[in-house]
Amino acid sequence: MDDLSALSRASVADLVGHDRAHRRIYTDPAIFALEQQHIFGRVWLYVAHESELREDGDFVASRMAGLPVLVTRDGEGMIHVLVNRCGHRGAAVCTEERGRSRAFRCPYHGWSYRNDGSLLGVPNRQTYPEGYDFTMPELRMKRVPRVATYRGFVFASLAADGPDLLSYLGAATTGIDDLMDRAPFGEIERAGGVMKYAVNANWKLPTENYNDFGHNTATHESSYSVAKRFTPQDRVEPYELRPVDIIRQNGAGSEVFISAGVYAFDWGHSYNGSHQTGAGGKAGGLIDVENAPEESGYAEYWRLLVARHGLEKAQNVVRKRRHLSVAWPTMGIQAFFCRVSVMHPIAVDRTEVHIMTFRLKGAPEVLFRNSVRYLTTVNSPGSIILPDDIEVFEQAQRNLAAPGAGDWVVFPNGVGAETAHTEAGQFEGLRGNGMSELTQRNQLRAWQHFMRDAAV
Amino acid sequence: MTMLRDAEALLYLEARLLDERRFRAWLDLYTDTCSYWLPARWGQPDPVDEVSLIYDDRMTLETRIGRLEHPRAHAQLPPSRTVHVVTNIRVAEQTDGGAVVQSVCQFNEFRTPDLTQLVGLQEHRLVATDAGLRIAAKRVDLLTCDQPLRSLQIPI
Repeated sequence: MDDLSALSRASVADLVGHDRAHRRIYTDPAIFALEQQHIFGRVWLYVAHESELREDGDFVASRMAGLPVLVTRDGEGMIHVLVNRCGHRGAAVCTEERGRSRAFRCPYHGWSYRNDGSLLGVPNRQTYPEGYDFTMPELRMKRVPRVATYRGFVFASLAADGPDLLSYLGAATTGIDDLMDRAPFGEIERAGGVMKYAVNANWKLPTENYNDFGHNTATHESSYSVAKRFTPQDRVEPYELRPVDIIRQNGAGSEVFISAGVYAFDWGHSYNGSHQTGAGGKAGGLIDVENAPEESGYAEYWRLLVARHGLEKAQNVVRKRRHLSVAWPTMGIQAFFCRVSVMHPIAVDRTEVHIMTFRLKGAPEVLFRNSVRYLTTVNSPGSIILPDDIEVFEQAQRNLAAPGAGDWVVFPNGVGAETAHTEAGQFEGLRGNGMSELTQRNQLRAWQHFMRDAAV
Repeated sequence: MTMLRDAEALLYLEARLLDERRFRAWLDLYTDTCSYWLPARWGQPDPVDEVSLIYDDRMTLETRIGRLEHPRAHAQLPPSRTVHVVTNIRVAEQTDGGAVVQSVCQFNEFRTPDLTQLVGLQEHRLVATDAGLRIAAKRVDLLTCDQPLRSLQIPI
């Protein structure tokens, strides 16, 4: 008898133990379908930023996991998230990435919709049955039931009920705060294009890598060891990041990673500390904002931050060192490089990742340009770093899909060594050393929570 | 016609050196202040205010090929096999011993288990140096530059 039939009677939640996961959760299309319903159909997912929806009528195409949606702003300034599907025969109502329009017309038979999704017009109405009810809800563009924003970030949930956005984000709000508090006027805008890459692997593999300090030394040896041949740039001028100084950071060494730490909270959320080191923390592109020379532009930036927050909080803001904050299951936020990534699970063995930069209003232009450079250096499929990650995800996916290659993957590092941690004085969580697989176990726990009542 | 012939010779040599994994010799075709750019958006105007698939200066290119040669570059074990096909070469602009040369590159890469094929428009800015014609800047606009690509390890 093969192992899969033995498991078919087990509940899906049993495919995850406290420090292990069965290969099936990465490879079984039936489980992927259940995840769409039980996880992505229930959680809050990031869909757009308010700066993309400044004026009434603005819209932007987005996705919720694999579901194509339009995020629109109607005539009253209200934001809607609409499934981009015509209620008539299912074609995409809008094929533009962004724009401004009060209505959308389906290119198939010309049905048109207001930007709140309601049906506006149907051509040749006289040839439809007399009295046909065009007000039936299924004929409109389906409206995603819950939409809410946190500090300009627009989230949506496909479930009509469940925890509200703030309750769901919990400690993950501090990742957004980390970014927003660096904006001297509390305002940011989407800018700098979109980076996209794809992995032929289950979405959980790159997600488990978000806060994974255990992999840098081995996976990225071929790039950081070469980057280390170049002398680190000690001078802060001209404040432009060099790719070699970014790449070098993956070779920071075990002690740096261990002390940076990892932090885990409810609902699968987490973050890791930063391994960006160097004189004044700037070799990794981190500027000593508090002592920057006038001509850098950072001195004025620092004054604006102090004016906004007061000295003590401003110091806390610029000294905060998180590598990546994770709003599970799909969002990553890296505050000091103004970067947000969103994971799109396409199939059980296919994941697309979009990474975006933001401009902090009132911050020096070089800060934004360094964000663009950081993203180009780290997150591109053409980067010197990322192909080595993609390779291990895809190798793992192939092995996990191979019957007889082993059924379980394990996450034992740091079990039992976690300590209690309270974030921002209000979010109870755990801290592990940087090598701990605490954040991965925490993601599996959230997965198990949502999948508990699912059955194959 | 001499510039066209010289440019053709240089672009064919570039393609061949990459296919033979002679990355150092490939980099020798570039000037010390060169740039190598793969935009992430069709018609992207600049690499500074918008993300790119690749935007390398000389130092970053050296890191890039250093990685490809590294014995523990695990995503190159086994190494990629490539065939660069360069065609439609024309001199778009001729200046002071140099030229702007436009061409098409069809890039074929095999790494178990995948054959990857990409195609794009290329533009080389060539300059005359004591060592002969060299590449001061190269831009490749991939047809699929704004689609989610998986892995681009070998220069195009």
